[in-house]
Amino acid sequence: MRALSTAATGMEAQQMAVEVISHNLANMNTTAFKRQRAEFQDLLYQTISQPGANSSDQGTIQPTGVQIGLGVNAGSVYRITEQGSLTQTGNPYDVGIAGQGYFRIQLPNGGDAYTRAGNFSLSPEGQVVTADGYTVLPGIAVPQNARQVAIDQTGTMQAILDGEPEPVNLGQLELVVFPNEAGLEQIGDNLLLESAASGAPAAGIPGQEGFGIIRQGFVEASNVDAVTEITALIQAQRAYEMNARVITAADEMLAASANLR
Amino acid sequence: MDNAMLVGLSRQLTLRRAMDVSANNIANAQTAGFKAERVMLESNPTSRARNTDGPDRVAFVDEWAMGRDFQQGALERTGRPLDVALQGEGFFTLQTEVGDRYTRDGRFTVNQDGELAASDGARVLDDLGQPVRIDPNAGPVVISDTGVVSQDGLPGQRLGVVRFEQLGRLEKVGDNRFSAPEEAGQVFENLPQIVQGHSETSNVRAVAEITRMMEVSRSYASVTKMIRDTDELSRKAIERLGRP
Repeated sequence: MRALSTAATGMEAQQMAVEVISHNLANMNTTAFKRQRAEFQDLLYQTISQPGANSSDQGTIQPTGVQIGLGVNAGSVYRITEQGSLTQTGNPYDVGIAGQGYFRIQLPNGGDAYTRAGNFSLSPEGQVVTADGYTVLPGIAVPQNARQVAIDQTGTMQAILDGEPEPVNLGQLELVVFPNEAGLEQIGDNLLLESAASGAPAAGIPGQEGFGIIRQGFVEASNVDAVTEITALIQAQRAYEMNARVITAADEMLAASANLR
Repeated sequence: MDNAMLVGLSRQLTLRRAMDVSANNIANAQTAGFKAERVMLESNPTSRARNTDGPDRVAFVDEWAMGRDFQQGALERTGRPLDVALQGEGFFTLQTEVGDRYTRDGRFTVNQDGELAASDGARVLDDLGQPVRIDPNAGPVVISDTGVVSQDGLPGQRLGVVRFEQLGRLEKVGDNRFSAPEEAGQVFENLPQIVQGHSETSNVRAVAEITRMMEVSRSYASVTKMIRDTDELSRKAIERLGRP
């Protein structure tokens, strides 16, 4: 009886949907978190009789065949890269990206990672770093005697140093874009890695065509919408229950056969 | 005498199959672009040995074909620019390693080469059979209701939508896709109705499926009862006739 295993694939898929939804809800207040969506696809089909097969010696053909599906497959978990709303924080080292692009971060192992979470701060050496202390590339140092640090829309950082009337240019933040940003690999801590699916990064400056602009004093909120998630949760739960019902019904049929004698 | 048992058995086999189909429908109740199915049955009379044997009195049940319900599924708003749904007839064309495949699941993405693709990387084809190019730096993608993909206000390629004269000839191959033989009669759809930012949900009606499933499991039980009664009958006959 295929119905049993078919319903089991249905339950498994819905379970995954609930896991994805709970991950989204858990990260509702995570900076620059992008919500995810479980995408389902039907599994393979077993062909019992081929459509178009001969059904008689006179050459009549069967217009439709008999194919029995074997259930559902959780095809992929897709990251939806919609812009999250920008929330004002007032912290001068908080930068939100309005539009496309990622900041490039240097990992302690020397590799590059990418993030949209712009809740930066300064390291003991005065470097601009992420919340985890990783350097934000291209690496901007803020001198000790800097008073007001201003970041404009193109990411240029300027500071007024003690005893100097003119603001000093400290450097410019860089952004990168990918052909397929949904294909980036997630490694936690709001960081993403380049993958074969994402394509190669293209660097640019904020405000350039195809790149977003920088907002100082803002961070990007997560783009999780609680109402959508809860609705999806209800759907997944009901679908899970229905699949469980199928298992019960299939079991009853088997029991009826088993009790024949 | 055995006929009753064998007819019962043929019914049980088709009921099991109907159960499998219902289970597959329910498992795919949340699969985008999925089309519900059901088994269609026919009665299969036994052939007679001689013409003078009179009309058939015994007929078996046999599944004849699979009916696919190609009704439109409800459109669900997702807000993603690369989610497109077809309203009315038609299928999107995907290029896979094993030939062109057709789907109503329009949740597309962009692959690493900047081409519109399905979630497993199969390229979406335009009306000329070419992959649809998306420039990642050219701003938001707008897909018109006839399938023209434009970026930055510049209209570009048009999504290729086909429909089939004989939908029954399509074969499901999994991954929300259909394959179509030559005879299916592929026609290019000139004026498709496309809705951007939506995806088509499965057209499985949960209530109808659950009811059908209950029906199947109850009729299975009653056929089983019939088989048991027949068995009882023959047991009694042997008992009584065998008495000295």
